[in-house]
Amino acid sequence: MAVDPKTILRDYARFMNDSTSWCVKESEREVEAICQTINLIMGDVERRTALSNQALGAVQGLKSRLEGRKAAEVDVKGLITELQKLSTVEKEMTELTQPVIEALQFQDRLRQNLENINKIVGHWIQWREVHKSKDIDPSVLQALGQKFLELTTSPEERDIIRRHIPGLAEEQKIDNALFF
Amino acid sequence: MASEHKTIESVDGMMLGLIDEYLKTVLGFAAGSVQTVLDTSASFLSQPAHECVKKFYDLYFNRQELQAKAESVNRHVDDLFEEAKALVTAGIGAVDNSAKTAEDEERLGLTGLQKQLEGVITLEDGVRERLSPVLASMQFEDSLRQRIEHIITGWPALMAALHSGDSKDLAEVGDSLGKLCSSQLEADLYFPQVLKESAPAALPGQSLVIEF
Repeated sequence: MAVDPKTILRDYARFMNDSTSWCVKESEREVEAICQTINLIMGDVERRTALSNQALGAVQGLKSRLEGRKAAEVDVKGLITELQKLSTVEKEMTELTQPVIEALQFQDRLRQNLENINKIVGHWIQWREVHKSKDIDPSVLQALGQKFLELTTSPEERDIIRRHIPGLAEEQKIDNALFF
Repeated sequence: MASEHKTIESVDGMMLGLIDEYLKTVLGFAAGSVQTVLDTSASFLSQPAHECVKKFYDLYFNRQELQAKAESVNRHVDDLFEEAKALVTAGIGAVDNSAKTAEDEERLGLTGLQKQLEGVITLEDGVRERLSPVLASMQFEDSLRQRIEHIITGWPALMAALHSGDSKDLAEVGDSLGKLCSSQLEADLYFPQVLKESAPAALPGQSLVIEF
């Protein structure tokens, strides 16, 4: 069978969506590997470091919550928050937990970016069907870019869109310190 | 710049650049995550085991090449079209074959390190359990990288063939992209959805496998 020029972009977008959904599933397994890493670190901390009762309790609590838990059951954002709290309990914990927090943040952003780029591509394919035989007015292109911005989660994603779609307004920088 | 009318071809070019950068950012996140797990493993692996697994990772993923690719993220979208057109002219399959030969050679060079790693596993008590999450991370990056790179290659190639208006170009690109599939799972998605046919049976797996 030949590739159908009328549907090829839609077909390829569907393939991309399914293939990257598989990647998101694989990233859950990566989260499982990170959880195993946390358990190994925490096990060593328990053995080697003289921890305060509070820190020891927190470490044991985290270990017991992670043990035997499947990747899909792990709430990555909740785990990051828990590790951030743990890192403030004892100074030594900060050094140990910080890289693991970073690894989890990478996974969270990876999943979000893949989900969002599929939404963006899906919207573009639909938009393209309507506009493919026309000269595209700058306001129409900006409306498309604006829709893309709404489909994102992070400022970094929005920066990517602005680098490629001309005429989109810069994001107002919000000083987080004012709100937290 | 924003005041000019655009053709659909120029908007497609913008979209190719956007997709390319978005997906390369994802590859960066995967590499960052695995690198962090690898660095963290220094705290629970012996020094020889950690050095060995780190060397293996650096060699396998060829960090410099990846960085060079990342630096080209912001290249002008016209380059993407040009590259894609060149790819169509040369035939993606031919380009891919030479890449695969280089990859095969690189993998052969890894055999020594793999043996060393297996030696560490045999000699050190309990290291198997400790290496498990590190190796799982590396396998994750490997399989994700293959899938994402196929999509990064696919979009500009398909778009260039579509804009050429030659259905033969498009059919050739479609077939060539099918040859990039690195697992049966990927082929089982690609062939029915894009080529409207069943995937060929028993595609060899090309992912990183460390048995211990």
